[in-house]
Amino acid sequence: MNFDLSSAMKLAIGSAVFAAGALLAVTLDNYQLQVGTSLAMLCVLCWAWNFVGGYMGYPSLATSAFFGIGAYANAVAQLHGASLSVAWMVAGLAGGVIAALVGVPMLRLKGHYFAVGSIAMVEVGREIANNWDGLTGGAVGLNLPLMAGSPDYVSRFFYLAMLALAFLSFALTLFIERTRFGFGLRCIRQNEDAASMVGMDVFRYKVAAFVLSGVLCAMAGSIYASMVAFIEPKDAFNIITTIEIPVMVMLGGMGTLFGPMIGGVFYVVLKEFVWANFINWHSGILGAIIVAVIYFIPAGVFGTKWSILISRLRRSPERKPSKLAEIKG
Amino acid sequence: MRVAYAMFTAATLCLLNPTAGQAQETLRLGAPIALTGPLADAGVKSKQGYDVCVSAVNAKGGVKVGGKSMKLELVEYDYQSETNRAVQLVQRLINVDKVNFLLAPYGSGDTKATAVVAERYGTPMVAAAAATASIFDQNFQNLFGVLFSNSMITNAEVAYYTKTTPDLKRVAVFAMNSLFPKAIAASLVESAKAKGLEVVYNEIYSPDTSDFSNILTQVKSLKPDWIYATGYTQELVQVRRQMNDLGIEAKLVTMTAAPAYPEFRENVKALAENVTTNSWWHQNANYKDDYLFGSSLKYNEIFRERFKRDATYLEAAATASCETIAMAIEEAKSIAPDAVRKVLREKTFNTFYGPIHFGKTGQNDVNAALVLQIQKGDLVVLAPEALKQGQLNVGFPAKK
Amino acid sequence: MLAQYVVNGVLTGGIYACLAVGFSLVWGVLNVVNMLHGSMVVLGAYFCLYAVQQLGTPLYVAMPLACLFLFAAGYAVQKGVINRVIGQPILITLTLTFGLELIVNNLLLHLFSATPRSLVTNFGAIEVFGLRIPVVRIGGMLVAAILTVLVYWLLRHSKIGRAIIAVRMDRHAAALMGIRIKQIYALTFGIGALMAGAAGCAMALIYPITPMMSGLFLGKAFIICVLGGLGSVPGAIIGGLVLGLVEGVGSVTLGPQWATSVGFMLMMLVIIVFPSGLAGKRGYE
Repeated sequence: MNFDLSSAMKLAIGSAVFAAGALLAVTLDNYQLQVGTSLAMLCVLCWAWNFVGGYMGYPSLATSAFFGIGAYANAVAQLHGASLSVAWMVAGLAGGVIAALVGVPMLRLKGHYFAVGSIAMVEVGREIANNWDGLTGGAVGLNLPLMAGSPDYVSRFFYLAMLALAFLSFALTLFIERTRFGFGLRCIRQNEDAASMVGMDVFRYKVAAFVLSGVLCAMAGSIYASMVAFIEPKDAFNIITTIEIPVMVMLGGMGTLFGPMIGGVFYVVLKEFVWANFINWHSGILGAIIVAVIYFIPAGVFGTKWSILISRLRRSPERKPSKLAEIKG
Repeated sequence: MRVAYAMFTAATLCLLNPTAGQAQETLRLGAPIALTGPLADAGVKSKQGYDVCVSAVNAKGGVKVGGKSMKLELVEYDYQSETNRAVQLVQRLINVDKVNFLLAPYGSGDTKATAVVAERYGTPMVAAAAATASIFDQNFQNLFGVLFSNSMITNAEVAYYTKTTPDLKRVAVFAMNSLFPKAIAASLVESAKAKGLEVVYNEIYSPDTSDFSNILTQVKSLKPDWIYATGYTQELVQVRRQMNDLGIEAKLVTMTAAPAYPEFRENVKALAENVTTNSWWHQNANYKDDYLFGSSLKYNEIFRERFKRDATYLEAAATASCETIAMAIEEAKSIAPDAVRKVLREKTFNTFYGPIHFGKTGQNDVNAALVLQIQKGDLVVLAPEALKQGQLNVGFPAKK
Repeated sequence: MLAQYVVNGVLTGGIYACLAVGFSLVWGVLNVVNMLHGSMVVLGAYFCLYAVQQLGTPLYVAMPLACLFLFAAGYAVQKGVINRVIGQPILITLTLTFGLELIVNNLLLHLFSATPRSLVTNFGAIEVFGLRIPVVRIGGMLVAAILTVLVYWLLRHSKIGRAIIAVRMDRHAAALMGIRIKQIYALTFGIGALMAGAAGCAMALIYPITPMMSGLFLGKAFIICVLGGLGSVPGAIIGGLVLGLVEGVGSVTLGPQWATSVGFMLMMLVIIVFPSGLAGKRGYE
């Protein structure tokens, strides 16, 4: 592993941010804590996606599939008497196992085909949850056992839990970025055939990244399910979320360390702002923002070479910025 | 002596000064409403129901809490038909907007999810659109439902139809795989079996189903006397049209819940004739309401003047949910959640919506089920006997 | 009775094919997953509804007008916005069209509200050998068939069509041959939009329309393209028929609640096992 000064600095910065977040738990009110928990959850999903979609360059739209699997695995475990922490572990395990099982056939696909296959996972997951009444309660949804404690305590608990998971995702990303595994993923993105020719076991790397992503998404889903204490198929296997996550990471910068977090925060802030001020047009304006992001900074905040962009804009507005080549998969 | 006189004057001035009363808080009702997303149609209607209540109460001078009157204020947010957003918004309404009471969102699942939050904070929440008993099965003390249970509706239907339709033996049921339609279909199967009817078909279709030809072909081959279909407007319009395409005939066809709404008739026009349905309320039931409106008919007039159409049970239930809170507060003479919750649990509210009594589970346990049929383009009340406007037209489709 | 199920499946399949033809064309030629497609169909449907119900124009006039309107709109959108991301990885194009879809959907919700609307007609059904075939569904199949034939003819036998194929085969070579790439892309997208508009009019006759239908239509188009082969127009017909029949079989054997699930499961199976679709054609043909 290659742990140098820059990594240490990044770790320090990240730790500081998370420590500040944890301290805020004392002062924020319950609503703000809930927003914070959602934000942390989205950051987890973004970091998880980043392994497969950012570093590895495979356009995965399966985030919600694993999120839903985690939510339901957790619910079923809890309803069968498992304690909270055990249930969360079970959920993570379920996510990983299913990622491995589905990943093996699906990771042979590339580009469009992989994207379609991954989005099919979400749909199939939702349909199964809807129809397998015995296991999932069907369309009616599942009520989870309510966690004991005052609303203040409960809000803080889930906030800190989700924050911890987010920190774990951050740390994993930092760690992997510096190892051979991360390097391998980036090689796969650049040229999969060449990587394979050089002797890398490309397939194993792909499955590993997919499984890692699946485990993190599933754990996020499980914490969410315990927090809301009620899940239904359309909510747990949400198509909109699964498309929003890549947008968030793109906004921040795919294949970077801080990109997913910044993208997630920016997007949520933007969304809240839009929603609060343009109540009737919020989805339309959100769409406009997405279009604007793709149009002007498709490489995201961290991926764009801002100096080049600005100089190009100053020179001739029609020239397509060549930084797009960076993100070509 | 002069000090006492000054104090007395000051006190009197405070009491008489209207702005002092208004500078006091308003009574805030928090409502997450689906203004966008798949539930938008129903969400907007719920909002209209709430608005009518709030306007009427404030026109009266507000809610009388002990000595003073408090204006009613609706604090609403769009939860975009997304459950997790509804949950977040309830947190916001309680923590940030500091609402006194809550009005549940439209969807059954959303009601259940937000009820969890209401229960945690001990804030009473009244649901206008939840009729399925399973929503109230969590033993929550703070969830109250204005709609009485599905089984009351289906029992009333089965009782009426077995009396008035000759040779009613075989029933075919198909339901949408969503909380309410599925539950009411299950209730019907129970009610039908209890009365000795034979259920020849009992299936569920997925919510994205746009084509019913295969289900209907199967149903047709079984030659049932009574076809019972559940779903929402979108699906039931399609079902009716495809029944026509496939030439389905039966003695009786009942659909829940679309035909109660005008959109159903607008979308199928002449095909709506003879379709039967049910409802939790109809303006012709003409309940008396001494607190607001006077009667059901008067309520409908007010609604129609404002929104240019008749109120259905959806909007009326929304108005009623807000009204029961106001009435409970006046009875409790306080806005403290514990006091109001106690009144909600115990009192029977006589409203334009009918008598409402929140039972043990929190759901209204007064049976005011209505059986209706579309005749000559209008909804006609068939049962109960006291409110009957017409007789059942047997035979489907209607003979020209 | 089995025959009636088959007929049902084929008729439904015809409608589905109608939905998918435009989507498949755009995907195949431009390599863009057009998330806007569902909304374009709904827009076409509303156009027809509005024209027929409010303005009183007869259907056979409203439909071509809707097609023209959507062609123009599609052309403009492509030229203005989508052209920028041609050739980019799927995520970029998908999210761009997704963003556009949010905008259009919001507009539709505001213009038309969420209340379902229908074009109420009573063309009835014809009875052949005891099988009932509703006339409007035959209409839907006809629309799909005509569209496909037109497009097929256009692509094979007209200069513009050959230019489109050339661009798909090799963008740079085509440019060197003097073909104006941006123009071709805009044209193709416009044609895709036109077909969506025609499909929309057919849908208006069959289903009650709300802005929410766009998701449903897009979902079906997706599955059909996967089944029939990305970018293959005859594949869209085959895919549509297969989906219609599979849903029917699923409904009867597994129960109606699984009817839509089998579609998605089949999609997943096909993409993993035969990525180029059941028609076996790779890329655009």
